[in-house]
Amino acid sequence: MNYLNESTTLRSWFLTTDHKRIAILYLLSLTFFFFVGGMAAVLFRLELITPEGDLLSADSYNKLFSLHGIVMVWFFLIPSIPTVLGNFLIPLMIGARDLAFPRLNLLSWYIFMAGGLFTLTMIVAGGVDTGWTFYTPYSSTYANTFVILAATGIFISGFSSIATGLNFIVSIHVLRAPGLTWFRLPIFVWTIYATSLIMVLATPVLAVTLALVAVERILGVGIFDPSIGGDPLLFQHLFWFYSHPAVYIMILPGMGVISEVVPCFSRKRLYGYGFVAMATLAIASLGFLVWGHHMFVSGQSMYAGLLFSLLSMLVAVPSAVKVFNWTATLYKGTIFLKTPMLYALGFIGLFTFGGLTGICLATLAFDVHVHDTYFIIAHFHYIMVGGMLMAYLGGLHFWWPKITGRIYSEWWGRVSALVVFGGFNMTFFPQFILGILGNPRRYHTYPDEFQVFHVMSSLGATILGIGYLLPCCYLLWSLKFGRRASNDPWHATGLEWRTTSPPPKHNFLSQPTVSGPPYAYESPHPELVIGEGEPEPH
Amino acid sequence: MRSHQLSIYLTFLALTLLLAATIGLSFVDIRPWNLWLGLAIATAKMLLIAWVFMNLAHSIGPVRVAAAAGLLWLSFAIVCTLADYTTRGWGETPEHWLRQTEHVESYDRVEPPQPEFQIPTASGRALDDSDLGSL
Amino acid sequence: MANEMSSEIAIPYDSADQQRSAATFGMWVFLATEVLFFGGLFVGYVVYRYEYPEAFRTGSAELNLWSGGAMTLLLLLGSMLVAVVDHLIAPSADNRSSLRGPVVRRLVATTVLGIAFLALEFHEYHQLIQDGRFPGHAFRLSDVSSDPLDGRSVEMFFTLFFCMTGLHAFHMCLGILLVGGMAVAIGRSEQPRSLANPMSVIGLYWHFVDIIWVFLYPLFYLVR
Ligand SMILES: [Cu+2]
Repeated sequence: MNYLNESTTLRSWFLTTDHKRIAILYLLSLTFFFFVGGMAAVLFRLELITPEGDLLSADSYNKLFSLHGIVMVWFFLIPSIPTVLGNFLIPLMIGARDLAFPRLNLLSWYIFMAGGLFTLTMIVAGGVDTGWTFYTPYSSTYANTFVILAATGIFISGFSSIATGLNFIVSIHVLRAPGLTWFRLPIFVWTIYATSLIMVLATPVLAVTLALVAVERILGVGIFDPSIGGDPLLFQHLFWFYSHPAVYIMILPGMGVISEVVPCFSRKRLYGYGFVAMATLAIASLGFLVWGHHMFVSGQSMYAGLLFSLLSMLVAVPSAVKVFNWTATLYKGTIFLKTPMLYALGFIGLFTFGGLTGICLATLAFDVHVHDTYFIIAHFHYIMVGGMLMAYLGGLHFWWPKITGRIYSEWWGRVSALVVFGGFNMTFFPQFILGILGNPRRYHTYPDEFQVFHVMSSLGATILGIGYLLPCCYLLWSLKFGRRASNDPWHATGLEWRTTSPPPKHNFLSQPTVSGPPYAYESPHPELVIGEGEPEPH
Repeated sequence: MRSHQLSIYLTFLALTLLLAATIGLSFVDIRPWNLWLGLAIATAKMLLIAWVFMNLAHSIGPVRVAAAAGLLWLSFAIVCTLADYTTRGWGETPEHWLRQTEHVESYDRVEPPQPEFQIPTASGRALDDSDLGSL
Repeated sequence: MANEMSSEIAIPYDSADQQRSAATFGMWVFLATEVLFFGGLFVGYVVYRYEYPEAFRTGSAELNLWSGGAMTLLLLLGSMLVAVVDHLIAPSADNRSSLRGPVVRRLVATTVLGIAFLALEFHEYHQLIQDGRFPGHAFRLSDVSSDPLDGRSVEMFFTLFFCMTGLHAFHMCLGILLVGGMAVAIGRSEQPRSLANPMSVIGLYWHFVDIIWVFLYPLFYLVR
C-alpha cells in the first residue's frame, strides 16, 4: 500500500489532503499551463522567422507575448518547484506526516485552478495586450483588451501562492522530526523556506496593485491616474516590489534542487553548508531592495537609480557564493553523470551566465543602451529557463523514483538533458547579440539584417520544444514499463529516502529521527552503482 | 489569571486615553509635529494591542519575528519608494562633478545623419510631414 | 484526559500544544501578509501626501472627526471584549464550569459593535457621495479649486480614502461574519473549549483589523 494505490477513485484525488497527491495535482495542472504558454511562444517564434509581419498582426503578436508572459510567470514558473517538488518533499524531508495545514494545501490548489480558469477565460475571450507587466497608464486607461479578467486571474492565484508559502513556513518551524535542527535541514528546505518568505511578503503587494488597476479601469480615476496627480511610475514601484523578488521565488527553489543533486552525484558533502543556507536568506531579503533596476530609464530619479544599481550588484555576492560552493563540491568528487546531474551542471553554467549578464544590466549606463531590447529577454530566460526550468526537470528526474516508484530510461534522460541544453542556448544566445545590436523587444517586425539571429533563435526553440516533449514520453512510459525503484536508488542521504518508494499515506511507518548533519556522503566503493532499480522478480 | 483580565481592562483604558490625546492633538497646530506625534500615538496603540490583546507578550520567538517582519518589509517598500520621490528634481546631470571640457566649435555643426531605412507604413510609402496632419 | 484530547489532534501533529502553536503562528504569518496587502496602499498614501500636503489638509477637513473618533472607540471596545474571550477560553485558563454564557455574550457584543462601526462608516460614505466627494465624473471641483491641479489633487485624497477605508470595511465584514459565526458555534458547542484554537485565530484577525483602523484614523481624519 502506498499513497498512489491506497484509494484510486477520482473523488479520493480531488478531495485528498495528502501533500503527495496534491503535488501530483499540481504537476498535472502546471504541465498543462506550461504547454499553453509554450504554444504562444511557438506562434510568435514562427512569426519572427521573417522580418515582415506575415503570420501575425501586431495586435495578435502583442496578445501572444502577453499571454506567454502571464501564463509562464504566474501559472508555471512561480508555482513550479514549490508546489510540485516542495509539496511532495518538504514533509518527507522534515520527517512529518503532512504539511501543517493539509486542508489549506488542497484549498490552495483549488484557488490556483480558479485563477487559471480566469486566465483561460481571458485568453478565449480575446486576450490582453499589455505585456505581463501591466504598465499604467496603458493598462489602466488605454488598453481595450481584457485587463480586468487577466488581473483577476493573477490576483486569485496570488492567494494560492500565499497559502502555500504560509503552509511551508509553519510546517518547517513546527513539524521537524526529533533531532532535525535548523542546521541539519537539507538546503532544499532552506530554499523553500526563503521562497515562502517572499511569497508571503511580496505577493500581497502585487494583489493590491492589480486591484488598484482594476479599480482605475472601473471608476475612471485611480491612484495611478495622472489627471488627478497620480504617478504611473508608482505602479511600477509597486509592481516590481513584487516582481523582482518573484524572480527569486522562481530561482531559489531551483538552487535548492541543485544543492541536493550535486552532492549526491559527486558523492561529497556540500561544501560550505552554512554559507549556502545563509546566502539563501540573504538573497531572499536583499532581493526586496533592488526593484528599481527595472526603472532606470522610466523617469525615476537618477539618485534612486544609483542606489538600486548598487544594491542590485550586492545581490550578486550571495549568488556567487552558491555557485562557488557547488563548484567546490564537485572538486575531487566521484562524479556520476546521471540525468539529474546533467541538468544540474547545465543549471550551474546557464545560471552563471544569466547572473553575470544581470550584473551588466544592473550597471546604469549599460542598461540605458540595452533597455527593452532582446538582451533583457535573453538575460532573464537564462535565469528562468536555463536556471529554473533545468532545475525543475533535474529535480523531477531526481525524485521521480520516489514519487512514482519507477526508474525512467537513463539513456533517454541524458539525451533529453542534452537536447534541452543545446536547444536552449541556440534559442537565447543569439538574442544577446540581437539586443546589443539594438533590436527592441515586443515588435513583430524587425530590420532585415537581424533575420539570421531570429532564424537561429526559432530553430533553437524547435529543438528546445522537442527537449520538453521527450521527458513527457519516457517519464510516462516508465510508469508502466520502468523498473521498480528501491527505497534509495541514488544512495542519497535525506529523510525522504528512508521511506518506501512511493511512500505510504502518512510518509513514514515510524517517526524518523535525525542524529547528524545532512549530506553525509563518503568516498564511494569503486563498484558503486546508482539509479539502476530493482531487478524484476521472477 | 485574574490579573491578565485586569491588564486587558487597563490596556483598554490606556487606548482610550491615547485616542483622546490624538484627537486633542489635531486641534493644535504644531506642524510638522502633528503628523509625527499622531503616528507615534498610533504606534503606541498598535504596540499595546499587539502586546496585550494579541498576546505577543507570551508568544514564542517565531511569532514575534513574523509580527516584526510584516512591518520591516512594509518599511522596505516605503523607504525605497521614497528614495525615488524625495530625490526627484535634484540636479539630474552632476556637471559640477565632471571635469570641464573645452568647447570645440566645429562640433556645433554636425550634419544630421541620413536614416538608413525608413519606417514602413501600411501603404508601403515612407512617412512624411503630411502624416502628421492626420494625427 | 490525554486520550480524550488526542482524538482532536489533527494528523500532522503530535500534541495539542504543537497544534495550537501552529495555528497561532500560521495566523501571524497571514497577518504579516495582510500588512503588506494594505502596505501597497500605504505606500501610495505616503507618496501622495508627500506630493500634495495641501490637498490632504483640505480633504481631511471634510471628514467628520467625531464620527471617526467614535468608530475608533467602538473598535477598541470590541478588541477588548475579544481579548477577554480569548483569555477565558484558552486551554491554559482555569477550568470553570460554565464559560459559554460569558463568552457568547461578549462575542455578540463585539459583533454588534462591528456593525455599528460599519453603519457609521457607510453613513459617512453616503454624506461624502452626496457632497460630490466620490472620485470620478461626479466629483465636485468647484469648492476646492484653489488646491493643486485645480482641486483634482483633492480627488486623489478621496480616491485613497475610499480605497483604504473600503478595503478596511471589507475586512470588517469578514471579521463580523467570523466573530458572529464563532458566537453561534460556541453557543451550540458541548465543549466550548475545543474551539479555543479557532477563537484565538479569529481574535488575532479582529485585533489586526483594529490596528489598521488605528492608523487610518489619524492619517485621514486628523490631517493638519
Ligand atoms: Cu529585477
